[in-house]
Amino acid sequence: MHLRKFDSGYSRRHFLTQAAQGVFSAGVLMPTWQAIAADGDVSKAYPDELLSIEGYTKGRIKTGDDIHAGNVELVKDLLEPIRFEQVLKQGRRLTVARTTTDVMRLSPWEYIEATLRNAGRARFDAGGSVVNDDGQPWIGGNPFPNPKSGIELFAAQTLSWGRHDASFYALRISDVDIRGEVNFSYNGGWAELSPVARVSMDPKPYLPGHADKLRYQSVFFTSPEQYKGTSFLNVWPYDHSKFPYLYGYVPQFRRVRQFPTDQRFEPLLPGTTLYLSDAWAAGDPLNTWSNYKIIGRGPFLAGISGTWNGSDPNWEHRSHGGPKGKSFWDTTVELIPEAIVVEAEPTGFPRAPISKKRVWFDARNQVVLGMITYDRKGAPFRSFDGAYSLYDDGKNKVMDGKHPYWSWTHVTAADIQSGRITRMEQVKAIGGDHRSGANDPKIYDKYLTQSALMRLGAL
Amino acid sequence: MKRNFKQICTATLAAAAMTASAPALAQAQISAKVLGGDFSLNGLVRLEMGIKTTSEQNQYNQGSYEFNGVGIARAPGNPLTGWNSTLWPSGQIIPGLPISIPLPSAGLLSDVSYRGNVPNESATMTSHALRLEVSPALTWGDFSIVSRIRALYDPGGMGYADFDARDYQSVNGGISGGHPALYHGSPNYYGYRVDGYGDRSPIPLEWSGRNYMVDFPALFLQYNNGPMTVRVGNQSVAWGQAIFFRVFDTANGLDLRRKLILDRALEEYADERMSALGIRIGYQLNELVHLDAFGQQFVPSILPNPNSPYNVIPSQFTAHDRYKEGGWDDKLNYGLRVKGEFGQFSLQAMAMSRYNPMGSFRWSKSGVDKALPNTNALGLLFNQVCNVVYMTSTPGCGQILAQTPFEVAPAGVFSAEEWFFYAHEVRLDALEALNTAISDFPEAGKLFAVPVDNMQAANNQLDAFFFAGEGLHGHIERVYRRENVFGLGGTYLTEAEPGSVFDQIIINLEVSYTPERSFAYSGFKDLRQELLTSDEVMAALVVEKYHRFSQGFPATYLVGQYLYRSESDLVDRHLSGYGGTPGSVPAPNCLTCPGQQPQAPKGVNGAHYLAFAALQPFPDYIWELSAAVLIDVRGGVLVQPNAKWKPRGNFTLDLYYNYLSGNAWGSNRNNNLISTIDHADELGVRIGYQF
Repeated sequence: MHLRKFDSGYSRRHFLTQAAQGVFSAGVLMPTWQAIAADGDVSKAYPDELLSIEGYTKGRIKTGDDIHAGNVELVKDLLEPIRFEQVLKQGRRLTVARTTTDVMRLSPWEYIEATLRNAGRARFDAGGSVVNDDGQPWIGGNPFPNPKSGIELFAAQTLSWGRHDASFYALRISDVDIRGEVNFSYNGGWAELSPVARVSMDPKPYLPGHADKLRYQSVFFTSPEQYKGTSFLNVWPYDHSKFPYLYGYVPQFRRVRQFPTDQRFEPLLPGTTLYLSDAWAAGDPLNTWSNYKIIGRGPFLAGISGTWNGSDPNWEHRSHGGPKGKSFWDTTVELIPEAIVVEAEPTGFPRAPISKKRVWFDARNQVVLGMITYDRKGAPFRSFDGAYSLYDDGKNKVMDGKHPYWSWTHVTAADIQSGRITRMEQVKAIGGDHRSGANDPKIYDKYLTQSALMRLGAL
Repeated sequence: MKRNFKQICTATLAAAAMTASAPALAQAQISAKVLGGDFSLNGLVRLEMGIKTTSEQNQYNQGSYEFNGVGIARAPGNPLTGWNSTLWPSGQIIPGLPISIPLPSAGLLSDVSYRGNVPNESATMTSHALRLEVSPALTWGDFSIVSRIRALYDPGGMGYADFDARDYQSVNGGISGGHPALYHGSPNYYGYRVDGYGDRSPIPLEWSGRNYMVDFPALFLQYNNGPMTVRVGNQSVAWGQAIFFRVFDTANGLDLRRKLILDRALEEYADERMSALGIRIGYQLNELVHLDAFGQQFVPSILPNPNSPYNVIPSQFTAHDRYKEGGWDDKLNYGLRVKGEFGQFSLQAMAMSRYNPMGSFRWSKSGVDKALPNTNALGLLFNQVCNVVYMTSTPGCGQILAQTPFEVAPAGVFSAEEWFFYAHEVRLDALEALNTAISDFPEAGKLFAVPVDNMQAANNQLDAFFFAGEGLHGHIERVYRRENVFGLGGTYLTEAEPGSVFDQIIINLEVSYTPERSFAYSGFKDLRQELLTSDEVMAALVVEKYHRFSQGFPATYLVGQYLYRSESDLVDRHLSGYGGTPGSVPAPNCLTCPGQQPQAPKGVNGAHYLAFAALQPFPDYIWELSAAVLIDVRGGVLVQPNAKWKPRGNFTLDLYYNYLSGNAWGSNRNNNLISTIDHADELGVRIGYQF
C-alpha cells in the first residue's frame, strides 16, 4: 500500500523532472537497485500506477484482457510507435499479464547473484572496455546495475547477451510478406559462450587461455535444403573496439572460409530482416557504435513473463494478425514500471544502412525490451520486440541447474518500409539433436569452433 | 526439332507453374523420432536445362565433327619409300563444293573422303534433367548418420543430337570396340563404366545408367567427442580458401559428366566434387589450430561419355578406363592439413598422397580382331599380305590390328587432316602421337607402319591406313599414378578506414608443389606407354571483398583470383601440347592442293588464369544478380551472368548464360583452355522446389 500522494500523474512528473535535471536513477519512490538488494522485489520503488495495468488505465484494461485496435489508444504511451501501429492497423493483439515484481524471475538466478555480489567493481579502461577493479576483464553479472548513462546500459548488454555463460537456442524463423503469407521458413541454431564474466560454468570467472575473448558465437541453419549447413562463427576479442573475426561454412564450397568482419548489416537469409548487428540489440562491439544517450524513461509494455509455451511439445508458439493471421506471435505483455530509452549511432560502420537505433531497456534489470532502427534518412526502418520468460508455467518446467531456465522465447522483427515481418522463436529442438539450453559445457566443441562449423556443414 | 523444343518449353512452364503455385510449407524440415534418435529430412526437386544459343556444336561428337560432309583429299603414302611419297597424286577439291576433280586412276589409290557420310546433326539443348536430392540424417547424441541422396533423370532426345552406333552396324562390321554401354549405342548420359566391370558403375554407392543416376554424395557415420570429429563412410573433403582454382582442394576428383564445369560458377564444385569411402578425423587442437586428416578410397574424376553433350574426348577414339582392371579401386588417398587462425592472419599447410584423379591417357591395344575392308584396293592388299605373309588365323589383318591401338569401324578417323586437327585440338602432338602408336606396339610394323619424322610422311602413312580401313577408331586407356602434393597457404585480412575500399579485404595465397607428377597424356603431348613425369608448382592468389556501394542494397561480393600452373592446364593437360595448329599436308606432287600445313605444338610457358566474380543481392535477398568470368590469358574467355530469384523459401529460379570464346584474342585457339569447350554457349535454367 502506498500513500495516495502518488497519484496518477506522479510518475509522469517524476520522469520529466529527472530528465530535465539530467538525473538518471532507476526507481520512483526509491532507487530500484536498493529495493532489489533488500529483498529482490521492486514493489517499493514504484507507485501503484506503475505496478499494474489496472492502475495505469484506471481499470479500463485489466490483467487478462487483450490490447487490440479498440483500446490501444489507452496504452499508446506504453508502446513503441511501430507496435502501436501494428495493434491499431494490422490486427496485432497483446494479452496483458500481471506485472512481475520479483526480479529473480526476470533473469538467470546466478546472473542476478553475481550482479549483487560484484556491484560497484566495474569501470571502463582507457580503451573503452569494461574491466574489473583490478583492470582484468569483467568478472560476471551486470557491471552497471544502476546505470547512469546510455553506454553503461549498452556495455552490460554487449558483455552478456543471454545472461548465461553459454547458451544454445534452437530456432524457427518465419518470414511473412506484406500479403501475410509465410514465404520463407528456416530452422537453425544460435550458440553463444562467454569465456569471461562466467557466473555458472566452471572455471569462473575466466576460461583459461580464452580471457582475451569476449564471446564465441555461431549461427547455423538446418533447413531448407539450400541453406542447410550454412553457418557463421564470430570470435569476439575482449577489446570492445575490435571487430569479431568471422568464419563461415558455405554449403556450396564444402569448407570453412574466412569472411570480412564488417559484414554485420546484411540479411542473414533471404526474406529475413535480421542482421548480425541486430543480435540482442547489441550485436556489434560496444565502441563500434557511439553517441549513446538516454533520451527518455517511463513505463512500458513488454513480454517478460509467461511467454513460454510449455504446453507445446516443441515449445512452439501460435500466431495471429496480419492479412492471413500469420504475422504476429500470440503473446502476453505486462506493465514495466520503468523503461530507459537509449539511442546510439553506428559510427564505426560508415556504410551501414541505418543511421541510429533506439533501444528500450527495463530499468530494473537492464534487459532489452525493444528496438527501432532508422534508415540513413532518419526514417523508421525496422522494429524489434522480444519476449522473455521463466520456462516454468506451473505445469511444465525446464531446469537450468538448480533454478528454472530463463531465456527469451520469441522475437518479432518488422521491416516497416517493406512490410515484411520476421518471426523468430526459441523451440525445444530442431532436427539433428540440437536442443535449446544453457550452460552446457559441450556447447563450445559442438558449435563454436571451426571444427564444429565443418561438422554442421552440409556435404 | 521445333516440336521437341516446344515440348521442353511446355514442360518448363508447367513445372514452373506447379512449383510456384505449390503452397508454402509451414515449416521446411521434416523431423521425427526414429530408432530412439532425432531424424531430420530436407530435400529439393529441380528441373535443370541447358538451351543452346548458337548453332555451334560439340566438335568431339560424331554428329558435329568438323569434317562431316567436308571433302578431304586423301593420298595414301608408299611404305616402300618410308612413307615419303604417295602411291598416287591426290585429287583436288574445288573449294566450297563437295566435289573433286579426280586425277587419272584416283579412287583406287587416292580419293576424297566425306567421313563415311556421317551426317551433321544440330542439337538445340545441352541438358534437360530432373533432379531429386534428399538429405536424411539420424542423430543419437554424439553419433549421427549423415547422408545426401542425389537422383537425376534425363529422358534424352528433346533437342539433343544423339549419335547412335547401331545405325552403322552394317558398315564394316559396325563399332565393336570399347565398353558396349558407352560405344555401341546411343549416348550414355550418366553411366560411369570402366573396363572389366560389366554394365555397372565401379563407384560404391552409385547406380547409374544411360538416362539416370542415383548416388550418395554423403553417407557416413559421424562421431563427435569434444574437439574431435570422426566421420566414417562416403564423403568429400574440401580444403583451401581459393574458389574454383584447386590448389589445396585436391582430395577428391570431379564428376564432370553432367555439366562439365558449366553449371552455376558461384556454386563452385558443389555438384561436381566426388565423394569416396573413407575416414576423416578433424581435431581442434586448441582455439587456434585445427587438424584435418583423411584416408579415402581413390575415386577418379568422371568425364562426360562419348557423344554426350559436354563430351571432351573425340568420339573416334575409344577410351578404356582401367580403374577396376588396374586395381586402382583398391588404392587409398590420404592427407593431413593443419590450419591455424590467428585473427587477421591464418596459415595452413597440407600434405597429401593421392592418385591423380584425372588419370593419364595412353594408347592401348584395341583388342578388336576385324579385317580391313576388302572393298578398297589398299584394304584388300593389306589383308592378303596378312593372310599370306603372316598367316593370320582369322581373315585379313584383324589379328594384327587387335595388337595395335586401332580398330576398323565406321565413323572413325578418315583422313590425316582429321587426325592433325583433332590431335592438336586436344593438345597432343599429332606426329608424336602417331609415332608412339607405332613404336610402342610392335605388331604395327607388320603392316609397314613406322615412326616418321616429318608431317609429310605422317600424312602419307595416316592416309594410307585410313584409306585402307575406311576409317579407324583409335583406342586409348586411362591409367592412374600416385603423386604427393605439398601445400602452404596464408590469409591476411586488411584493416583500413572503416567502410573504405581497402578495409576488410581478404588476401589469400596458396601454393602447392607436386614432384614427379603425371599428366592427362602419358607422354605429355603423346600417348606413349611410359608415364612421363615432371614437378609442378601451382599458386593461387585470391582477393575478396564485400563492399556496400549503396545504403539500399546489401553488400556486393567481389572476388578476383589468379592461378599459375607451371606444367599443365586446368584439366591436367601438359602445356607442351599447346600451340599446335590444324591443316592439311599437300601431296608433294600436288601443286595446287589447298590448305595450310599443320604445325606441331610449340608448347607454352606456364598457364595463367584469371577469375573474377561479383554477386549483388537485392534488398531482402529475393533477387540476386551475379557474374563470373574465367580468363585464360592466351585468349580464352568464359563469361557467366546469372540471375537468381527466390520469391519464397521453397522455390528458386536460376537463369544463367554461358558465353565462351576460345579465340577472344591471340592467333591460335589451341593456346588456351577455353577453346576446348567454346561450343557450349547456352542459357541455363533451373527451377527448384526445396523442403
